[in-house]
Amino acid sequence: MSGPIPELPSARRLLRSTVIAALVAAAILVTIVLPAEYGVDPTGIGRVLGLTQMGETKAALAKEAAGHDAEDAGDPPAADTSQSPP
Amino acid sequence: MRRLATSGGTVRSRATPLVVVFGMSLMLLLAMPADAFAHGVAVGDKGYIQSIFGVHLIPFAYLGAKHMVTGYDHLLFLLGVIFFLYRLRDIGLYVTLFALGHSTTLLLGVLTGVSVSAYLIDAIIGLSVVYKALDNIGAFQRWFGFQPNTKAATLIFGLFHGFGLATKILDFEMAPDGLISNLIAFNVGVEIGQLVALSAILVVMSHWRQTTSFLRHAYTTNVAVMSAGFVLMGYQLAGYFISRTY
Repeated sequence: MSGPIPELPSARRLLRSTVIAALVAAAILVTIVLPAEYGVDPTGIGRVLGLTQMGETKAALAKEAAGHDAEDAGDPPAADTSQSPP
Repeated sequence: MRRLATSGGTVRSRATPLVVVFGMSLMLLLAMPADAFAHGVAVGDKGYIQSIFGVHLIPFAYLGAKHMVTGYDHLLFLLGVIFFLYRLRDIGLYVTLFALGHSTTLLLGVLTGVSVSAYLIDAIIGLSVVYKALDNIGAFQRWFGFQPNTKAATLIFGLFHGFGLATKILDFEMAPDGLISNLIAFNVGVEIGQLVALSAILVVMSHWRQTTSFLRHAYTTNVAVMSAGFVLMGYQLAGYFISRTY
């Protein structure tokens, strides 16, 4: 039924928009979402924003909840021990 | 523009689309923390569910409705689906297809206890948002020269959304006693929640469609929705790989 937009955008414009959408998403993921959710912070921006600390706490709790088999794995969560909250 | 003329609203809104988009993003953000506390000790909804036995229709209907109204992934997809639907009949048809899809897998998923990774399912739900946004800006028509069946896509992605709902319910660890009744109540709640959310979306959309700039902003909005879909996908895929290391 409804062909959405009256005149189709050009293939080049569509591709450009898709790439921009993906790049914006990647930037948001890497600087905000991954630090805040998982404590994964490749750029260091998450720590400056205080989000990485939240993510580290969440990751530690998730690891704890995931099972007691985490004990023998022995490696700590990606946490900088300096900032880890009680 | 013919289609614009058929949308029967009479009120002309002066609210700029930007404000509308901003408002909607705000709503989404507010809905976000909903499952932040889902893990660990069973408190909140899960705690309640684990403390009861037997049939509790209204509470489960409420939980289903709550899940839908606060489920930003479902809402984004729904927004994509109805974005260019102007006639009530079409909206009803597509929403029914979506409901048919997610009800099927919701019930089947819980009753068979199929445990697919919630992360992967949610990543596919993110993909459904991306797909619909691309569909809306005509990308498939332009790139592949034809329009993929939109009804089939709505139904198929509905199936995945249902699996997502099923994994959430399985996480509740509902008692087997009264399971089917409670499940159907939950499902009915999901549909009620969907209608409530849809009404809100439609009110905003029909005002927005009255503005002359709608079509211009429609493209950008769908690209933004696509970006949100990519974020959802990345968020869930990262969660999938990271959780495997725990």
